Amino acid sequence: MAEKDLYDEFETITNQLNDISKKVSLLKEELSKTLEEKEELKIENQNLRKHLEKMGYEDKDFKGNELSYSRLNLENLYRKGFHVCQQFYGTHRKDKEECIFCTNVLYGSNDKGKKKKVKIN
Amino acid sequence: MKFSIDRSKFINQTSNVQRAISTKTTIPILTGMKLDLSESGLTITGSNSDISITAFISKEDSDNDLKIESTGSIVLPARFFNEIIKKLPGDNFELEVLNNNQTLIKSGVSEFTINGLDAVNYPHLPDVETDNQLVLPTDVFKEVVNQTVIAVSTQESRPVLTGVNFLITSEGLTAVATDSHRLSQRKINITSDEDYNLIIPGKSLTELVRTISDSVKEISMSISENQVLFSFDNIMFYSRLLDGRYPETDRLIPDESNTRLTFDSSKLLASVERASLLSHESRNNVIKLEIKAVDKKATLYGNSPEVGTVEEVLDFDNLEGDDLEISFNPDYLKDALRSFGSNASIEMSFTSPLHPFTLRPVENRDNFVQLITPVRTF
Repeated sequence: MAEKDLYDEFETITNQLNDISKKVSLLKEELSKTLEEKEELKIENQNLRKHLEKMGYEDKDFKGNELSYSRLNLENLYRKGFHVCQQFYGTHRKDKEECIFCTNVLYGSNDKGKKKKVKIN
Repeated sequence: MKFSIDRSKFINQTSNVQRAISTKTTIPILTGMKLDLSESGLTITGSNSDISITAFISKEDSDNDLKIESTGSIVLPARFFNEIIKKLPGDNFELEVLNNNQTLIKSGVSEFTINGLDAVNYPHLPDVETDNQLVLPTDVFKEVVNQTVIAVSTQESRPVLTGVNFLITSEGLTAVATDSHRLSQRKINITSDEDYNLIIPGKSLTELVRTISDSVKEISMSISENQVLFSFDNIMFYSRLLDGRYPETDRLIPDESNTRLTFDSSKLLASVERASLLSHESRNNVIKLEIKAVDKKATLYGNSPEVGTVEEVLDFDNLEGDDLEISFNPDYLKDALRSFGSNASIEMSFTSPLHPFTLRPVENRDNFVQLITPVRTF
């Protein structure tokens, strides 16, 4: 009698576990879908903002128009963990440590006149 | 080959040469030490693929007590040979090469026979022309090396950055090192007829500085295409040069700043050490410096989510410019501060939270600069 009870118990637990694992995988799918959607919306939002900006609309809260479009692209890459400098272009930044050369490419002055001045000094 | 020599003088020289000998070399003969006996004296050589050191013991110097019976050369296993010489009982010892490169070492009551290798198979030392020598005062040279070698990269994946770039022109010598996170540049005034641009491995320089004893006043530097030779006393130190082009670093050093902070190097070092106690525990190892120009206040924050936080108001000599909040790796700042020596007056200049900031000694602003890249935390 007791043996049969035990067996039944097992059966129910197994069924429950199966259910749960199904739920978990469903949730996981849902999550990745949402994340994807989020990323898409983010990019779309960015594009729309750029569009707005082109049409002359200025949003004071929206920062990022200090850098040129191409530098923004590079900054994006840099923030994602890749070098954008001449020396190590495209290689992975280990532990996302900041790189002196990349920083110079991104935020350094591209004023050629100034560079010359430095050399004279 | 047969000679006898003062044991302690001999050990002094072998301990210098020993620095170049590695036990992990792929070329078996390089685990040995080469002894070369000529009419004028004894030359000891050690080498690995990167550096080679030779020391010469002159027959002329009576302190050495060098008595030559017959000349010749032999390579002896460095590890055993050194241990044997160190433990010999007498003040002097006698060395004689028997048949088949077997070598007999006699001192007092003790007698060793060890197996040597034929010196013919030992690699030749690089040829470096010594016509164009640069002569440098030892203390200045050591300073230059110690101040730059801290910023050398330890990652072999970027070979060029594992060395210090020496730029020599008629205007002087500039030494630069960077691991792409921080940079150190030191200039000195020397006169040179020729221009050179060379990259010396950081490891070689560290070993070289250890080899130069305090009694040495001047060292001479000779440069060939892929080797550099430093000679001082009776020692010649060869190092391989690194191939490749060193990145241009001139444009990395900012010449303008918006916020300047002057302080005593030892005081700031102590503060940073305290702040870094906690940051080392956290994942990103960052401390934050907050400057409030109006209140004349500079505060250092360290924080580790699991352990706790630290806040310290800095004791500085002068502050001017704009307000600023900047985060950085405290270890780089510690290394930089140590290189200035204790109680030096240092000026820290900031442009923005994204731009590298500089540290310069107030008394020698143009000749020494340390650059540190901040960490973006927002």
